[in-house]
Amino acid sequence: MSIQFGKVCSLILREHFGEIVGKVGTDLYKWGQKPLMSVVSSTKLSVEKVRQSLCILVQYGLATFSAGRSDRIAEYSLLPEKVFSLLRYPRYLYLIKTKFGVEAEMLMEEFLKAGFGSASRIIIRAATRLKEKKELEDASTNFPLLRDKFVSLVNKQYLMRCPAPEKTEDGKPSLIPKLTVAENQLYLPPTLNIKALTILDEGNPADAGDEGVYWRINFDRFHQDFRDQIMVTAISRRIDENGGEIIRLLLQLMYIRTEAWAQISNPIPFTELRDTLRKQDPQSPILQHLDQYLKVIEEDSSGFITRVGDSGGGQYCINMRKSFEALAWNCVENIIVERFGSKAARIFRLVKDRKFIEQEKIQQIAMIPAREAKQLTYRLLQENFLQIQELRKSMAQNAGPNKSFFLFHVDLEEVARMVLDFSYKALYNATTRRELESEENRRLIEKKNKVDSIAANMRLQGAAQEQLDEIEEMMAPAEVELFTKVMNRVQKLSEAELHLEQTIFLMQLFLNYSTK
Amino acid sequence: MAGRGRGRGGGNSFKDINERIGLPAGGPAAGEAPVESVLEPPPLFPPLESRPVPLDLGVEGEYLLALKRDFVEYFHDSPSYLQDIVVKADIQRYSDRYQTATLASRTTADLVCDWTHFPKELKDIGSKPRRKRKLKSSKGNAKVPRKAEDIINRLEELEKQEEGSDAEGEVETDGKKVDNNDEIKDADSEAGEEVDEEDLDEEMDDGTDYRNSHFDNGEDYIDEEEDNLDDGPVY
Repeated sequence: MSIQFGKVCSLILREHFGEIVGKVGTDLYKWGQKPLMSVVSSTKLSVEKVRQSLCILVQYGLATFSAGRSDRIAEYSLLPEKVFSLLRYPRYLYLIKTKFGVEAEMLMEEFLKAGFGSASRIIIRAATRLKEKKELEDASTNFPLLRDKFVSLVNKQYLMRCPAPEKTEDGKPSLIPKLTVAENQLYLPPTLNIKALTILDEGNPADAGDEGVYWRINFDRFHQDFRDQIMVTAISRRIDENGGEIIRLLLQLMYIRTEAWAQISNPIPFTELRDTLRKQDPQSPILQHLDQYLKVIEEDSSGFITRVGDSGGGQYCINMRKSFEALAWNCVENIIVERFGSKAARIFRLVKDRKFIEQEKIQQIAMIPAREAKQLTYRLLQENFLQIQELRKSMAQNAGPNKSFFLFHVDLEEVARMVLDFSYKALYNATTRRELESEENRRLIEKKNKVDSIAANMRLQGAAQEQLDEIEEMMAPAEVELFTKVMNRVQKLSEAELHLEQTIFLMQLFLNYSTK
Repeated sequence: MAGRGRGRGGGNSFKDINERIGLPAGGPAAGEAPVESVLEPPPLFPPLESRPVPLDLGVEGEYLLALKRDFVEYFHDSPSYLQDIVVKADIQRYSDRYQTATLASRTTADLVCDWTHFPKELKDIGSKPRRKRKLKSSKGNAKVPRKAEDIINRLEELEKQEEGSDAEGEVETDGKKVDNNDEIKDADSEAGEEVDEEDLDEEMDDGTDYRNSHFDNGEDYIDEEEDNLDDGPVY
């Protein structure tokens, strides 16, 4: 939890939910757990506004509450990871779209927009949206399809049941509800009454069979998928498409026998992998070369899989921790190449390879002229990509300089944390800049939007081309030019944000695995 | 990341280190220019040494960007986007009326579907603190804004009166006005059960929200500054 991360979080909150929620979120981030009234006093907002903000934060799962020291006062705390996830919403949707199709995407979108909600309500909303999109007569035709999609999303654990408030002894709702959910109910799909949905859709009260049962998104599941995607693309880039396919299958088999976030998977027998592959596609060209492929992936320096036994044609483990260590190394190396040039990267790789190395050795082995090598090494040291370790020959305090060595080494975790930190900073800067750009030119953008909407209206009414041209001319050429310029800049900054988010995801994963 | 690595000079050990890792101990070698001590922070926007790699986005990226824009827009229009109702004190604008009306109509109550999942203190929106204020106002503090309401009522009455007969209307309005005042007193003394409903749009009742305190004593500003001071200067 760094200062930069906190800044990014409050910026994200401000962008999505406005100034006030941003303020409350920042306050909660700073202090950890806090009761309502002390948020009020430290933010100097009205009680009303703070209440509303907390409602919003809890509704979207960005904050939680629990009974404090006294049972009567709830203490709220922000979940910064969840706040950061707001940036990933588009990626979640895209994933669902590619895996389950448009209808499931619509359901997911409604969930993201509502925070949490009951199955019936979300399905009805999605159905209405679908109706508008496809211009169907009746929303209810979509209900069975949407329900099936919903159930499959629950079965695949993309959705999970919200913990429900425990009943108190006297039956009255307690001041601070204690939210719990039974383990076996977490991914138990709901039984929905489609007929009731149709009645509800018409605006009449009906019992859809899921009273008081709410669902929310299981972000963890999505992150697993992102992780798998990263691994598959990494191998496909390093070896080829077939290699990526093998990793994908191995990951599939891993889920059967291993907990999803384990550092090392349980052994997967070769025969089982072959059988799955055969079942999937009996004519698959990979089958002939399967053991060669496995050999290549195993011997690759990234160490994604390791062979752990010979029984059943060989047993293979996926080593998550090692793979992400390799990916993090690569990422840092790329950063160094782009920032300091390939020679600096060579030095970095050398230090990584030798673990601990002296300055003179670096010059010799890297085959870079002494002065340049020195400069680059110190540059890396100054920017904290390299660390220095002093090694004394004797333990005496005032041992002369000749009695000690100075060895360069890389502490990857520290470097990763630093990379993460400046990624946050870059993200913050990019977002701020983007906001400034659009704020400075707000007038222009508004005007453009207005002109566009008028033109679109006219076109719908079947206006002549002359009229349309006339409307277009309401924007002066200079204005149009400025507009495209501003839009280009905004576009570029948003792209940068997307890419930064991916780097951040990788680094977070690596740190998660290595500190476990 | 800047700021580190500038602590050289001084202690003997640094000289040792320099010597050991290859820097001549007695300052820079003859060929190199002496290192000047840096007294100012590094520039805010240092020149880029190398051009960043162009970003490639592809179709997928564009779709993601569009989705992101949609989300932000959705949240801006939803009740979850909290805003202060800012009153521009200079003149009363016609458009203000609609703006504040749309803002006021969006409450978090629309957003939340089941209050049993929330602590109870969050639910009682607008009841407790408002009630206190109401009690205070019953002691006579709120007489001034009430007058404003009276004026509106009176104007309405006058309008009616213009349409109807004049002499009769005069008496009627006077009577009504008294009635009105009585009602207010009644409501004040009760000031309990039905307050909630009425209070939700109390702010707008009087047509303005001058009563609300928009005074900012600038303490927030200093708070923010303080944080930065703790961390030392930020470059």
